[in-house]
Amino acid sequence: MLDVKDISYSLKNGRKILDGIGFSVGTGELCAVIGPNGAGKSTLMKVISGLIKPESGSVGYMGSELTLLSPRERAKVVAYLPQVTDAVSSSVADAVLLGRKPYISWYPSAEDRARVAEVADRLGLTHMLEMNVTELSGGELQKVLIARAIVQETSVLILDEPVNHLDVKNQIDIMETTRQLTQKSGLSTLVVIHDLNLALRYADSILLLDNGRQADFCPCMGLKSEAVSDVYKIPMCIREIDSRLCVVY
Amino acid sequence: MRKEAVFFTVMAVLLFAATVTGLHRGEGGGSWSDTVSALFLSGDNKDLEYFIYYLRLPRITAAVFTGMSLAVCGVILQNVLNNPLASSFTLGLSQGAAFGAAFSIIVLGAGSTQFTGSGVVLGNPGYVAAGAFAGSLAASAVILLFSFVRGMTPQGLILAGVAVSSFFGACTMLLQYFSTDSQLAAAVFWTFGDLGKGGWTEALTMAGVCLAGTLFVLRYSWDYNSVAWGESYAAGLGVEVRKVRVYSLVVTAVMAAFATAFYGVIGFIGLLAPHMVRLVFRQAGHGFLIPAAGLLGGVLLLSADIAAQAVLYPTALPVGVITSFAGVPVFLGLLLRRSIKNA
Repeated sequence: MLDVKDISYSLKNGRKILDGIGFSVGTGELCAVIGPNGAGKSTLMKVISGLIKPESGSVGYMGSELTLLSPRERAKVVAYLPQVTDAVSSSVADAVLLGRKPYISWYPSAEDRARVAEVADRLGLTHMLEMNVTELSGGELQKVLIARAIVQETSVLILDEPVNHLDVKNQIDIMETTRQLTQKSGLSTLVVIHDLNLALRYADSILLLDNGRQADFCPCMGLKSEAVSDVYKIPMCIREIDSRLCVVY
Repeated sequence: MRKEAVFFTVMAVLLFAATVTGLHRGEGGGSWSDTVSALFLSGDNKDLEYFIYYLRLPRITAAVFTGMSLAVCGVILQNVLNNPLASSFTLGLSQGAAFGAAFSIIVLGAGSTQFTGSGVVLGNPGYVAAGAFAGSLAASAVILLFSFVRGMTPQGLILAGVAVSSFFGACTMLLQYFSTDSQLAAAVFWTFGDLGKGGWTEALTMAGVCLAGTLFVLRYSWDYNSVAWGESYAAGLGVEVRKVRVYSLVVTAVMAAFATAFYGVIGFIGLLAPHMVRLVFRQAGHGFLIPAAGLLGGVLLLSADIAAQAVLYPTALPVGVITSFAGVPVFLGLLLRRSIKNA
């Protein structure tokens, strides 16, 4: 279980970015992190991944404190995919193989390459392994990056806005893949997402952030219309339509 | 055969051909049979044996390992500074070395010049090289100090390099303004990139520095592959980006400092070799890019040096002139080709 306790973080100018955030995500569970722009979602993901040191608080997994691990050891526990910028010219196979970085010293071993082949097969990427990642569509690239995170063989998966700039079909495809991997591999997954309907459809729990504070953390069923309306400053209504939770605004 | 294996085979053949040509041509003349006899110490021409073993061979060794060093420095700096135009020149190392050499010659009086029939000879090249080495390291130290500043971006480091370069350039000009004619001639002469400046000591030192530096950066090739995707990606994969950047700056600074101190300013190899390899191998990772660009850099500089000796034979041009004359159009062509491809 990923256990985040009382995380606070401020900029040097004293501006509070995160203020006392605490929640936990069980194995095989997917937590969607939502909130308006500037709420502190990406900063929180960086803190949990160890890229930023928090002012106070702790990030634990199965009893061990992640902030005390070396970057290399931490990368064997937490896989972090930041927002996609530009793909770097390389073959899909090499782009996925990069996920084995925490295990590679000089050159990748045969075992590393075998893991890549195995994960590519699982995600249906085998036919494109020799292609250049710069020639892939946004959805395909995101899938390659998720494959990279999977070969990292971690227990915690953090995806920062993985469905940005994707069409609806690809958004569903990526979220479906993420949920299946989370359940089958017993991962604790955090996904930063702006589409509240996708969040409610695929997540087990919701972390709602507002201006660095934790406005709510609850199972999807427990999310209140008032809470999201307050945070986003527009009237929103959470309804069950065809036995599925939906946000109407 | 894989494309990579074909590349290394072609490079090995070109290196062999250039080495044989370099052994035959150059100072001292001689026919092919004389060259072969002298190479195996079986002829009567002791002068030619001397030329081959004490002038041509160290010059070839220097060309290969200096070219390799400059190319490897280019690959690494372009990666860690996230700038395709980064090289030891961009960071002001060459201007630092030129200032160090000028300081040794003009202020410390280390390089009184003698005008000989074949050109200018520095009176005390060892001190001049030491000054150039110190100047080059001083320029790198400034960049390194900047890299320790939290929040300093790779672009910030490049701009710091431009500032350092201008500063050392101004210092050199100031020294030259107050120098005598012979000191000025010596200081300007030193800046010509010339592989004939050193003997075996310099060539073997360069080989050792180059091989050690190349092995060191090869050890981090997967870190460089990660950094290419951006700092956040690399950090998420357990790479300590700042540490890698600092180590890389130190190693490339030492490699470039030795090359510049011994052989003067040699331009474009650090830009040309990495970009030529990337043009052919678009998907190449650093495990391939580092040795491939290094080998190509060695072949390019050795070929340029042979051309420098052949163009106005028996007068040898400084190799830096050839690399710049040949490098500029080739580099502009590469840029144009890439732009047209991306349009």
